[in-house]
Amino acid sequence: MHKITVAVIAAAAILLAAPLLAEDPRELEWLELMPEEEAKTWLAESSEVDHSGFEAPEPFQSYTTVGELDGEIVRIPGFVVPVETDGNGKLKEFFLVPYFGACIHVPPPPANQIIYGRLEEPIPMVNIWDAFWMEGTLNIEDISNNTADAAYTMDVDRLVLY
Amino acid sequence: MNLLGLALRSLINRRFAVILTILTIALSIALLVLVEQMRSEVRDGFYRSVSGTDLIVGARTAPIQLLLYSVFGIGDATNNVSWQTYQELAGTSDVAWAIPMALGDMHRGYRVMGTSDALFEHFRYGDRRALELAEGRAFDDLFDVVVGHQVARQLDYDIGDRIVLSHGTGSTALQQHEEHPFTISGILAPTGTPVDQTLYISLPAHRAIHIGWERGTRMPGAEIDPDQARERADELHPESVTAVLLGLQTRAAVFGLQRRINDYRAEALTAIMPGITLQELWRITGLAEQILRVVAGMVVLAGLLGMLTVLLTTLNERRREMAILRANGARPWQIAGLLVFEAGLIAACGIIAGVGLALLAQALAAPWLLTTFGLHVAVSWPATGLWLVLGGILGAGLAIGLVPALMAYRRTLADGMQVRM
Repeated sequence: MHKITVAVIAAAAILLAAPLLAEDPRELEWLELMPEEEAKTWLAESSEVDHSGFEAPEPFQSYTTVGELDGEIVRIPGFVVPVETDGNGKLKEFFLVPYFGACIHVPPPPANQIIYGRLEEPIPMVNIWDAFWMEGTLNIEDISNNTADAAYTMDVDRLVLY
Repeated sequence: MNLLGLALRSLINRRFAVILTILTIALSIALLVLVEQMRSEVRDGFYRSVSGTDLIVGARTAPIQLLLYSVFGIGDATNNVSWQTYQELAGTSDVAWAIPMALGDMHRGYRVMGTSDALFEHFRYGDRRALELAEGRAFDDLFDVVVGHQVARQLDYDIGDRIVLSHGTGSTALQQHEEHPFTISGILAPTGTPVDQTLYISLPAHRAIHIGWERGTRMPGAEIDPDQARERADELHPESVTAVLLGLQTRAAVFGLQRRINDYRAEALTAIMPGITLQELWRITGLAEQILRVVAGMVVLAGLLGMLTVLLTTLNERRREMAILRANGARPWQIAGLLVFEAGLIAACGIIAGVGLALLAQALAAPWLLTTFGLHVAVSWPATGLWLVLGGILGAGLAIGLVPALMAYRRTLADGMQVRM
């Protein structure tokens, strides 16, 4: 409870001090995370899903990233998909996705429409049915394997209810 | 003698009623604390049990069901994943590692899991901790078994002991795999997760002990000889596995793969992300938790009202006492303060005794929960939020003390000086 009070005070202080800070978080839209040409193809394309195997090509998969966004301080809304907790059930690492989970009628968002968030300090588990504003430094991480070469990650400063 | 001393002596004089009141409050507080403590401990226990696993795959079933039987050993699977599908899954390019889990056998009430070396290499729990062997080594011989910490402790097992597994998931073994005794090759370090209650054997061994069981029960004479099995170990594999834990090359690929597994046409499968499924589980149990909380709150309220009753009824009996205090120079506000102090003291004693009682109950219930449900419940200090609630209850106790205090304040002067019979 005490930590929450501190967090609230800190949040209030940040809000009050925000105009003084040099770097204001830039509000980002999900489509901005996808390179422009790709976004065009993506929106134009609609193909049938092949269900025959685990390796079957997805209707659209995109692992490319927008280079200019690397290192920017941004703010983006989304839903939390918990991935890692510390030993005490506190949230440590998660995915931020543009819409909530089990929509089985359309394919999942492509990889560049997902941000992997890491919290410096684990926070009490959040509700996955609530939308959150995620604020922090966006990074593009090199991943060298056969499916992808880069992905978005974020060092999350704050996670607040939308 | 000061007023405080008088108050204490007065309480001691009425000790029977006072102790009963304290006990009532203590029991209600214990219930409240226990409900809250168990809730958070159970949640922590569940979160601790699985870490680093991106997807859990099983036959088509409800996500919560799959999570419970694969990781927590609660309930049974209705169907398995075929061996071909398991191999295809493990070989998918997105998949970095796959831990197979073949269930269905027990040893003296503990689950036996057929798995591979991937378990020791890739399984994580708590804060991404890997399994460690406290003694011995993982599978070497075909009929080697690695046992969890609790299994070894409860059954008093050591490296080199020979044990017999039993068929089926009941806790009493009627049908034994006595043709194939296993040798304990390793004992795992304690984890505080269901791993502690599990015995691990290799997949070929899991297959070997089930040869001759194809008709659903043992066909005498159809079993494979242990030495023959050892020779054929390389070609032995089960027909199916119960569940598979997957770790991915790229975590961001998890949504796509989950979808492809759930859409897989060749076999009906379910793939779940453990973090999401746990939250779904909490959403269901949340209602029951809420009801328990309300009930506990009501009981605390009843306890406080019980205290008010006792204070009010004794107030009449204590007219004389009050009158004498007044005659000796005590002011009305001091009499009132005395009653509030009494109420506060009773409430405080009740709260302290209640928390003690709750922690004791938790400590006593912990071993039973561990052996029965595989839930590791640590006796922990109540969280800050709970202390605030307890503080609020103390405040409520003081506030309730104001009722008799006001009555006494108004009455003391006239009342009791003249004795009315």
